[in-house]
Amino acid sequence: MECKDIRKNLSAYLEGMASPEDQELIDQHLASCRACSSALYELNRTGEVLKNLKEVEPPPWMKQKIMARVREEAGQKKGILQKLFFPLHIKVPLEAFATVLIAVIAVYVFKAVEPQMRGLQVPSPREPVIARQEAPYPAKAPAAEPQAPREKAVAQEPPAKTASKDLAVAQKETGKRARVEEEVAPKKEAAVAPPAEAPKLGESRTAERAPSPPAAAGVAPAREDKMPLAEGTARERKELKKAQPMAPSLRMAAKSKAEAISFLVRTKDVRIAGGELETLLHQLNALRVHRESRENNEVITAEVKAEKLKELVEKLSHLGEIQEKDDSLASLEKDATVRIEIIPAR
Amino acid sequence: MSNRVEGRLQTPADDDSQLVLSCRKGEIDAFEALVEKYQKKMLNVAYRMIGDYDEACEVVQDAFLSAYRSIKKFRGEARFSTWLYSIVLNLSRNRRKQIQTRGAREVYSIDAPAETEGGSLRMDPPDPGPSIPEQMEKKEVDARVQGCINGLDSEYREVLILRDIQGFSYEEIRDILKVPDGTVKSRLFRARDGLKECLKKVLGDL
Repeated sequence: MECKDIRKNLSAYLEGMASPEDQELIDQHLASCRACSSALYELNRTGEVLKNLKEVEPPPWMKQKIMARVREEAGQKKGILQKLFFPLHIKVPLEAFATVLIAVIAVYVFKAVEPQMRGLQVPSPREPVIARQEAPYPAKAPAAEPQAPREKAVAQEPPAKTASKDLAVAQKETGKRARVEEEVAPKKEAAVAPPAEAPKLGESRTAERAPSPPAAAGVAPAREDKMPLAEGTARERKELKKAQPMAPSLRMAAKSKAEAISFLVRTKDVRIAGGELETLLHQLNALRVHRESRENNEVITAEVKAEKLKELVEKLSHLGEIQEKDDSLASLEKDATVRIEIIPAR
Repeated sequence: MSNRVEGRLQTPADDDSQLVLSCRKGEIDAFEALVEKYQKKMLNVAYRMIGDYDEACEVVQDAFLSAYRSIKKFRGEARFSTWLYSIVLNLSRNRRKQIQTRGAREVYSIDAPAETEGGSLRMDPPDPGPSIPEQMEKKEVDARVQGCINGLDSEYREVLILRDIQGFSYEEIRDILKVPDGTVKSRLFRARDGLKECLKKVLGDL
C-alpha cells in the first residue's frame, strides 16, 4: 500500500473504523514511513484542536426571544381561527341582537310618531274638513245655511251640519263678535281651532255658553291652539263620533238619499208654536221627532215622509211666518229630515 | 397513519417523543423544554457553520420557529434532534450563502487565504518556535481554527462540524445530511485533511 492510499485511510484508522486488514497494513506502513506517521500525528492534532474548540453559550435572551416568537405564532394561528369561527360564536349573536334592537327601536319610534302622523293625515279625509269649514258658516248667519251646499261633499253635509247646528245656535248671538275675532285671528289659527271648537261647543256649550260674553269664545280657540295638533284631531274625531249618534235619523236619511230641509219660522210665542209643531209632526207620522227648547228658540228635527212634506209646509205657514226654506223643497219627492227652528217674531 | 406516526414517536429511541407529542397538541411549554435542551448545540452548529455569533443566534431562532411551525409534519422517521439539526444546518447554509453574496464577509480559503479587515494576512507564516499554539491565547487559536473551518466548502465543513466538533455518530450524520455512509466518510477524510493543512498554515506546527 502506497502512502497515498495509507493517508486516505488514516482518518478511519484514527477512529478505529478501518477494517482489521487495513488496520494491520497501516500499522506496518506507519512503522516504516515517517511522513505518514507525521501525517497521522497532524490528523490527530487537528482532531484535538477541533475538540478543544470552546463552545459558545447561547445568550440568555435567545430562548425568551424564540418563545416570544413561538407564542406570537401560536397567537396568530389562534387569530386566524378566531377570524374563521368568531362569526359563528359571537358575531352572529351580536348581529342578531343588533337586528332585534333596531326592530324594537323602529317600533318605539313608529309608536311615538304615529299620533303625529295621523294628525298629518287628517286633513285629507273629508269629514273633518267639512266640519272645520262649515262650523263658522252657521255662526255667521242662519241665512247663510242654504248656501252650504257650496261645500264639496253634499252627501256628507248633513252630519257636518248636525255637528255644527248647536254651534250655530249657540253662536248666533255672539256670532258677529266671534266672526270679527276670527277675521282678526291669523288664518292658521282659524283653520286649526274651529275643528276642536266646533264639536265641543256642539256637545256642551249649548245654552250655558252661548250667552256668555264673546271673550269666552275668543279665549277658547286660543287655549285649544296650545293643544298638540294630533291630540286635537283625535279628540275631534271622538267628538264627531259622539255627535253622530245624536242624529241617527240624519244618517239614515243620508243613507236613503233623503234630503235635509231647514225651515226658519217666526212666531209670536215660540213655546206654544213648538208644542203645536211637535204635535203636528206626530200627526204627520214623522219619525224621530226631537224637540230642543232653548231660551229664545225652539229647534225641532224629524224625519218626514215625502207625501207629508207639503202638508207640513202648509201647516207651518199657519204657525208663523216661514222665513227660510230650502230651494230643493219643491222638487222633493223623497223622505226628508226636517229641521225647523222657531224664533220669536220681530 | 397518524397512529403509525405517533407509535413511532413513542419509540424509546427518541427521548423527545413525549415532548414532541405535547408540542403537536399545542403545548408551548413542551416546545420550550425542547428549546432549552437543544439551543446550545444548535447554536454551536450554526456558529461553526457561519462563523458569526450574532448571525448564528438569528439562524437558531429561525430554526426553532421553523421547527415549531412544521412540528406537525415531523413524522418521526428520524430522531427529533436529527430533524432539528438538519433544519439548522440548512438555514445556516443559506445564511452563509447570503452573507457571501453580500460580500459582507471575507472568509479564509485553504488555497487562497484572504485578508482581514485590518489589511494584514490572518494566515501568517508559522512562527519558528516549537509550541506556537500554546503561546497563543486560546481565543486567538479558536479564531484561527474557525477561520480554517470557514474556508472549507460547505459539504466538508458540515460533516467536520457534526463529527469532530459535535461528536455525532456516522449514522446520525447520514440521517442529518441524508447522504450515504460512504459519502460521509470520504467527505470527512477530505475535510480533515483540508483543515489540517490550513491549521498548519495558521498555527504553525501542530
